[in-house]
Amino acid sequence: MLAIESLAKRYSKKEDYVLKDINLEVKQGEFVVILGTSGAGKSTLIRCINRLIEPNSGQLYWYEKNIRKLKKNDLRRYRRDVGMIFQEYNLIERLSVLTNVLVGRFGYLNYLKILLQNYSEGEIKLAQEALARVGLAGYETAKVRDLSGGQRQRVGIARALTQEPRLILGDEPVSSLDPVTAEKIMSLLTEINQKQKITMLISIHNVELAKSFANRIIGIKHGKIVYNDSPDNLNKKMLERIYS
Amino acid sequence: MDLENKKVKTVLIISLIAIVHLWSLRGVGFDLRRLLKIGNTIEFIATRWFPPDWSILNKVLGEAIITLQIAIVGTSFSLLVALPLSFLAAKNTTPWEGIYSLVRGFLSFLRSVPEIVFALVLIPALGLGPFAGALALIFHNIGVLGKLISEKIEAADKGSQEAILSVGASNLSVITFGILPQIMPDILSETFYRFEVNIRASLILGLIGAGGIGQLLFIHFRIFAYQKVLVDTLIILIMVIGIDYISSLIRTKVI
Repeated sequence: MLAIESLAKRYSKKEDYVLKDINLEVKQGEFVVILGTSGAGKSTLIRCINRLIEPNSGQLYWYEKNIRKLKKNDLRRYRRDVGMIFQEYNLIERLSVLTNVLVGRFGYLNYLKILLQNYSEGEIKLAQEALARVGLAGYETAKVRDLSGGQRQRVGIARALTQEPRLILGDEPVSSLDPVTAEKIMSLLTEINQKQKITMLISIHNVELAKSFANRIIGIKHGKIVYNDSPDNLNKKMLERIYS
Repeated sequence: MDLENKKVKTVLIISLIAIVHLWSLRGVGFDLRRLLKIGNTIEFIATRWFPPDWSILNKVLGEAIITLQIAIVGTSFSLLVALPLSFLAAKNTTPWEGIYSLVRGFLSFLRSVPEIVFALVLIPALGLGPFAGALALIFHNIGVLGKLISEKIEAADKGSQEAILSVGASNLSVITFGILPQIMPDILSETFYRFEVNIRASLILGLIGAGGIGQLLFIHFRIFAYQKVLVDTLIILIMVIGIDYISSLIRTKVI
């Protein structure tokens, strides 16, 4: 579904490339985990995929369509297909849980409807189902700022589900959570991956967590892919290659 | 050696501060002997201002309400204009660099022209009265609020903006839901503070004929009606203290 060809990115001409010659394919239904040290280029890679960051060179294909060339409305339409969850959840703190989840519909609606918060019954139902899916049924009117970290990430996942994506990107979605909560969130993502057939591409810090949940692991070091295989083959030597 | 250097530096700084103050005191003609004559002011107030002439209370209250209205219009309309302008004057939301510089320049021009200058320029065209005063406040405060709000926009947390962009939302939606909810409390707090400042500013504008209780005070002063001046002054005191209190209560408790 997604193909990345010789992707490269540097933030300024004075700095080194953060990503150098990344080649990667993601197939529908996969649960891919990206491993790597801080600064290896994980966040940049993930943000290049939905073009929150513009790469300098290389190509990106989404179902054979070149997405580097997409302009305004086409880019927005593509982004609807690609959900994203974040390390710091990136919710609107002062607003309610339901309002935050309905943000997932912003790619489908015109501005006036968004401004007036004029959603159809179907859309509200979709948001409520997403909340139920992540275990937060009944939390619609709660304020985000009153929630715990784990609950916040669940709202983040519900927001992504509400946009009805085919792929969910995750930029270290469990790195700010305690180990038990992190595992629960990973299980939830696995469930969504298996039952709703939504592909996952997620970066993670914790090697054990990556091994127990991923179908495939990508190791990144200094902006290059140094490992791209099943978690079973990720032995000590390979780990050293990623983390040394 | 280092310690020696530090001592020399301290002595230099202290002498510099002293020189600046001596220079300023000379400029204002500061004279302790003349300060002793302040007793005359007390005698002047005690003998000429009392008893207060309460017969004009209704008129004074009416003018006080006009002052309040000048400040309300001067504050709310400047916010209304400043808010959209400030998005053009913020690096992260401006459509292009040219507009950014243009609006920034325009805002700092409005900010650097004092209200009283705007009023002096407007009165010949609009005539004496509260309308010119309110307009003068609006012009100056667009500049002040525009700068403050555009700085808040630039400092807003990027997280939720990024998330809203990632679902396929338009830039306008990112502004409305990713930035505005974050900066709204700051905007309201600043606006209420400007309201307090505008009450005091509109008193001064009254002196040059821009209406309200300030103008009444100045007229009474010029016709030596000091017993009426006392009533004006008391009402001004009560109004300013009352509004400062209510406004700061709203700013700290509600927002």
